[in-house]
Amino acid sequence: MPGVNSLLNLGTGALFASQSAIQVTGGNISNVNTPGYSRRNVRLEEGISINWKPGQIGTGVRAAEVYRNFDQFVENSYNDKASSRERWDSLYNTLSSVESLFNESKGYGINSSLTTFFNDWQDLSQRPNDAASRQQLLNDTRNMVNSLHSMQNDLVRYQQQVEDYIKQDVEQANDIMSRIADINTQINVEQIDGQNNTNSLYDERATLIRDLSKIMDTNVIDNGRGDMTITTSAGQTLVDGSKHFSLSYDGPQSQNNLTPGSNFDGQVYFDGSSEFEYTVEVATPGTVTSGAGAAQFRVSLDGGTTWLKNDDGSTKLFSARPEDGAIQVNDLKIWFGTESSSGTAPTQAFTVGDKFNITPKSALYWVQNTSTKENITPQINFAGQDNTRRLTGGTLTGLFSFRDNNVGRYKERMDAMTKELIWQTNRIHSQGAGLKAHTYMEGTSAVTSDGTALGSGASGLPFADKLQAGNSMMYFYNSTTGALASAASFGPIDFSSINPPGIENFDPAQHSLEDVAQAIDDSFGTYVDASIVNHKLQITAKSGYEFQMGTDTSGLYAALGLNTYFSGSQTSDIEINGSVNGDVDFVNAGHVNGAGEANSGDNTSALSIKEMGQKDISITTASDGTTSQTLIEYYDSTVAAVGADTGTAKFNYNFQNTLASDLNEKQQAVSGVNIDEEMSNLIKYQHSYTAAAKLITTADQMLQVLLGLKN
Amino acid sequence: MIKLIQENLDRQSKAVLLLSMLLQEEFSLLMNKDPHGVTRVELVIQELMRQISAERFSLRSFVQKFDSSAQRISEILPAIADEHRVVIEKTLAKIDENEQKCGVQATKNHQLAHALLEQSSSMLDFLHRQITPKDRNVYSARGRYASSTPEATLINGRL
Repeated sequence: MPGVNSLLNLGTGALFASQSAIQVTGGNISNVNTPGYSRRNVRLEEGISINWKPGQIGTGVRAAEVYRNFDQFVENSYNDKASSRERWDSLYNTLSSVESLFNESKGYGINSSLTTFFNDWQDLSQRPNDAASRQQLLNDTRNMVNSLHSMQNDLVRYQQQVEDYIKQDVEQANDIMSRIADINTQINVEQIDGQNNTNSLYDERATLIRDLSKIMDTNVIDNGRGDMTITTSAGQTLVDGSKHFSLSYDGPQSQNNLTPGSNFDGQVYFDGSSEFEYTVEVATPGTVTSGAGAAQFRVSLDGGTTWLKNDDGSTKLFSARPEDGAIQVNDLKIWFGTESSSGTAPTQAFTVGDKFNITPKSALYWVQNTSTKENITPQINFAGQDNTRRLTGGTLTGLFSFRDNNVGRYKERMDAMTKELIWQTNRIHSQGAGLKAHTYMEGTSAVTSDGTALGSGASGLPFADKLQAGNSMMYFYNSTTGALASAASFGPIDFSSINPPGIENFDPAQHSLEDVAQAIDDSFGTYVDASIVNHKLQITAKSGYEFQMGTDTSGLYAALGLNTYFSGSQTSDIEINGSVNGDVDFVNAGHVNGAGEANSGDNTSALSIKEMGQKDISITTASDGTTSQTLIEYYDSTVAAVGADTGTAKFNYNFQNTLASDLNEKQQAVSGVNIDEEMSNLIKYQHSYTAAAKLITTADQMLQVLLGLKN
Repeated sequence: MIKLIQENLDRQSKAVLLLSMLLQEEFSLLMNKDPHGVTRVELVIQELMRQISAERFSLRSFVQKFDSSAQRISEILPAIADEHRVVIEKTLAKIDENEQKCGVQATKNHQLAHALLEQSSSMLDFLHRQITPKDRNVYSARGRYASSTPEATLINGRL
């Protein structure tokens, strides 16, 4: 009922409404610099109207709720772009440091040491019997080897550093996920729609989602209140209302992925580590066995997009072997065993299509529950495309790309280059002769089992695939006179008494290290004694004799590390062969000529090595395929790849950053606090407050008048 | 004639260098989301391109004066004395290098501008979708309820 009393109520309501509006404006002003704060307003609502004469009369104003200004659509777009921005930002920052590692401008990089190495061989070819040239060659080689080692160590160090960053990110992501789930619960408890909005909780949640999106790509499905689902772009749920999932960063492991009808009862085992994930797929049916009838499998290093190939372009097939016949596939030794024992061969046969995923590195997993987890490590195939079933954004993707795709690839290229440098140099050097003949020689490359054919993947020999059928010459001299021990004291190592009988040549598919030792003893037992120590071949001259190695068409000497210049097979273990390092006379500048003599003025081998440095060599890596370049050109193209990767990362960062900041500005236009606007609101509400107070004064005066009537 | 060709190439070389710098500036303006600045630079770029094109036309006329059957400068290079040819080749290489840079930078600018446009238009699309009624069932002019998606029935049509 309208009357003077209701006027007082009207005024009081208006006072309260203006007061709360001033309070909210004050909150806005005080939070002008608070990150993640969104501007709030009071929703004013007219009070109920009363039907009366002369008609409906209002009962004033009511402050219904405090709401926040926020655009969820813009926010989702922003988070999307921010994920990409962070990915490229972290990649660019980490790559910049690697770029300086490959910086050749100071003049003592690997390019210059490679050039010096080949120039030294040229110098030696001009003065083959000069001790100073030999010493210079050894010194410069030592520098080159050290440069390669330090490059390798630095790359590994960067990878380890990045692993620490990854661990921090995973920890932070897990923490954020649980906090978002907690907030969702709180929102569901406290929120009363249209009356009590949990604005600060919403703000806090939005900030946390921004933080999470910086770490990984997210997809937000908002069903109102606390019913929010956050998934990765690929669809793995991270938060679902009050429930949350987690990420884990786990060590190397393998998973079976058998076809539905498969009876296979074992699992894959591996030894070694690699930046790539190995997908092993059975291509020919069979069982796990050392003999015939073994199943054959193909291997992919990029999740099944491309398969490893032979030099002729056909898909490379490997046999399924038990532990004692483990097959070398790129950096890993792979074999099959039962679930409980790696040494026991499984009995059931494979079915074509059975897959095994080997993750020989620490990787990121999405943990659904205690028994199920899914590998979500970012993966880029060799064509450069992201695997969209894994993470594709955020710092985690940047860091993993850096570790696996970038540094992993550079290391692979450096290893491929070093391997070719070692092989090509050793191939020439092992057939050459120095200033002195040998009385003792020890191979530098070891096999895993002495009885396995050297050319098979199971021999464990680093250069097994380089071996060819052919023969290897040896020459024997009288140690006192230096002349050939007899007119017939030379010739190829004869394998005819070894299986298969009658064939003189070495056959990598047939002959093992034991066979080689046996064949040397059988052929030249009068002069030398061949034995196997620590899975390496040793040749010791018998008293009164010494020997030299001659032409070798099979590559046996270089593969076993006999009479070689380098030892090792990759960037981490390349060294100068111990015997050469200890005595400059064993640097083979010359060779044994047709008359069985090694002359001190001969420069054949030195010249060949110098020429090798200028020749195109086929270098194969899993990620880049086969290229034909000189070693120095190949190294330069690696440096160029580092520069190009850094450039791409920088452009992508700028690109995504521009888009993200554009969206952030759009969000700020909606939810940011404008101090001028708030000040004018403050004055507006202050005046409303004054007017409401005036209303009360007026009502009071009216009451006074009424009360005055009695006097 | 050789002097004229050399001067022309020098101007072109400087112009392409300037073009590459302008494109870089345009990229940084795009990154700062300054559309007015971009427009200003874009106008200068267009004018510069027009000038480069004019230089190329006049270069062609010099080439043809030198040898009436020749179309391009590479065709008359063998006929030029060594000391001039080396200089011209060097300038041409420089122009080529800067042109490549311009090409890459222009692609980057194009991509960024395009992405910003797409972002804004997707924003508009979203707004548009929000204000368009989702329910397409409306009353027709005759006052009958026209269902755009007829309900599934066994028999349809008039009996």
